[in-house]
Amino acid sequence: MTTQQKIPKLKTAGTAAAGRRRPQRQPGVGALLAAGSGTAMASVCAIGLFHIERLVGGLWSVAAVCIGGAICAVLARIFGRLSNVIPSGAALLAFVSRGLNRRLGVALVSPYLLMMLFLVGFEALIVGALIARMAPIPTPVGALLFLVGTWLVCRSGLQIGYRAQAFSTWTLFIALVGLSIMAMFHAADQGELSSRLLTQAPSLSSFIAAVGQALFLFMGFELVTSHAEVATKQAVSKALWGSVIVLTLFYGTVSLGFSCLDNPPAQGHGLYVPQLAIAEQAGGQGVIVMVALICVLASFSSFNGALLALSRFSYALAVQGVLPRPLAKMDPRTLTARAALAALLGLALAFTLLVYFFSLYEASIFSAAISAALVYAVATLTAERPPFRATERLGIRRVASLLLALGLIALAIGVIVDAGEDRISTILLLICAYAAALYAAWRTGRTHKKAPINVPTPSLKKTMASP
Amino acid sequence: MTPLPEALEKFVKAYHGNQNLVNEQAGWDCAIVLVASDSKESVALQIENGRVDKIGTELEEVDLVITSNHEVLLDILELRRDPNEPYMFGELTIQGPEDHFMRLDYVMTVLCPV
Repeated sequence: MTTQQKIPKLKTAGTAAAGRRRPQRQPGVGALLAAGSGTAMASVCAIGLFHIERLVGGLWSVAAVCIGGAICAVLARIFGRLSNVIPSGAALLAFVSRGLNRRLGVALVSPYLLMMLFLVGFEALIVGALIARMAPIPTPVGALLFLVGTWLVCRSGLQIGYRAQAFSTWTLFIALVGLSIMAMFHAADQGELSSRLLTQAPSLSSFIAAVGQALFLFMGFELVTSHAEVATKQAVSKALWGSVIVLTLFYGTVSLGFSCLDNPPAQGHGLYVPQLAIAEQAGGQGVIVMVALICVLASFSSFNGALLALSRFSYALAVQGVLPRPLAKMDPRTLTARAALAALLGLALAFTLLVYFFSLYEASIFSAAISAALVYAVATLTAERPPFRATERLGIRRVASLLLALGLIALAIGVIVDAGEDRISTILLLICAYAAALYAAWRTGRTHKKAPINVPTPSLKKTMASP
Repeated sequence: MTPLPEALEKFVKAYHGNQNLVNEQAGWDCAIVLVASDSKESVALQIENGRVDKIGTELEEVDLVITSNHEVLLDILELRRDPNEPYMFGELTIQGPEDHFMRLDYVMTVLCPV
């Protein structure tokens, strides 16, 4: 009775709904743009950007950001192609698994996801520091409140919608870009603008390291592809490009603002929150509180989405036995993987303590940047394999893809070379992440099949029939 | 090869046979189409208040489109495989709101326990 008939189309907003539920509106380019940019614009990225600015200085940091942005613009095209062929919420894992194989998919993508979770620990401490500027709460306690509070919201099944995400993203953009422009005017008033921006040329190795670290700033922009199930292919492709442009403008401008900070700390300064410093320079306590609130809101909206997505990912891996089976439980009322959420909260708390007690601030940024560069290299190579490879692609374009992948690997090496006293801790973090990934890959077997269900076959009916 | 509607009817029988599971889905309305990307076959089902109300091919619009190859869809409908596995590794794609897929995934996981 199966026929090769026209496939029914998806219901969209405005269509008469059959039943109690109204069809959900498809997110447009604007909503996806805010989601993609917002995911990358984490508070921890401001610290990464500050580090780039301290490393190479002035307009050189803007150049590093722009080169990072240019690389990500090419990657946006690649991710658009991957998502067009496999429009899956599983995104990177689905792409690499189809292009290479499942075990390589798990081995190569999991470290990137683990490093994202590790960064949550750092992000939580930043939020703790932001909360400490608003209320007499110690930084670690504020971090704990942030993690547990977000977890409780996720546990109830509540996910921040596109409008709320857009509000937090654009508010953060306007606030920090505005403050950065004010900082530049302040430097110009003091006659110091050119000396702050036109700094001595950095060494080649430092500049390469800065470009490699700039990739960290864009980390997460490719997660726009995870919305492919609810958005059109065109919207996803445009949002990928748009996110790169928005992020490049944002980081370039804020970097200039950081160059114009009056009293930046020296290296090895522990937890320093540059967005608070720029707020303090611009105005009084009111501006600081406003910036702190905006950053906490942005961090919350990012972490909410990330935690729910990671919990579903963990749940799916647990169902297959890659992760412990007790995590393979779904709450029927809220449709949340509560066991996986609890495990992720535990991990996030552990990572927060690790970052705090071992001062792994820079090592976590470096290792995240390296994992991003490597997974982007893998994605680049995956795009040249079936089913993603366009048969009409010129050989020179394939060579260009290979060169891009090698360039990304070179950037990752550059980050390690220039890591200085954080090199050993960076390498240790990466070893832990890749070891865990290799173990998960080892547990990723072939397809598990059971015996089919034993139900008497009913008679077939030719038209719509009630069972 | 088993036709998709036949496998789907077996699945529906198994689902309706678990009354607790059906009761848990009260209030869930969803129109789903399964599309075999290799054979271009498709079959649809309409769920009303948690029960499968209709099976067939005559639906103009749906809430969820599930696409995979014929063998994977059969494996899922005959409860040999959990849909998470092909989904995570890019062998099955969905289009439509996530909450419908999460609910369907929950139903599958109960019927096809790990």
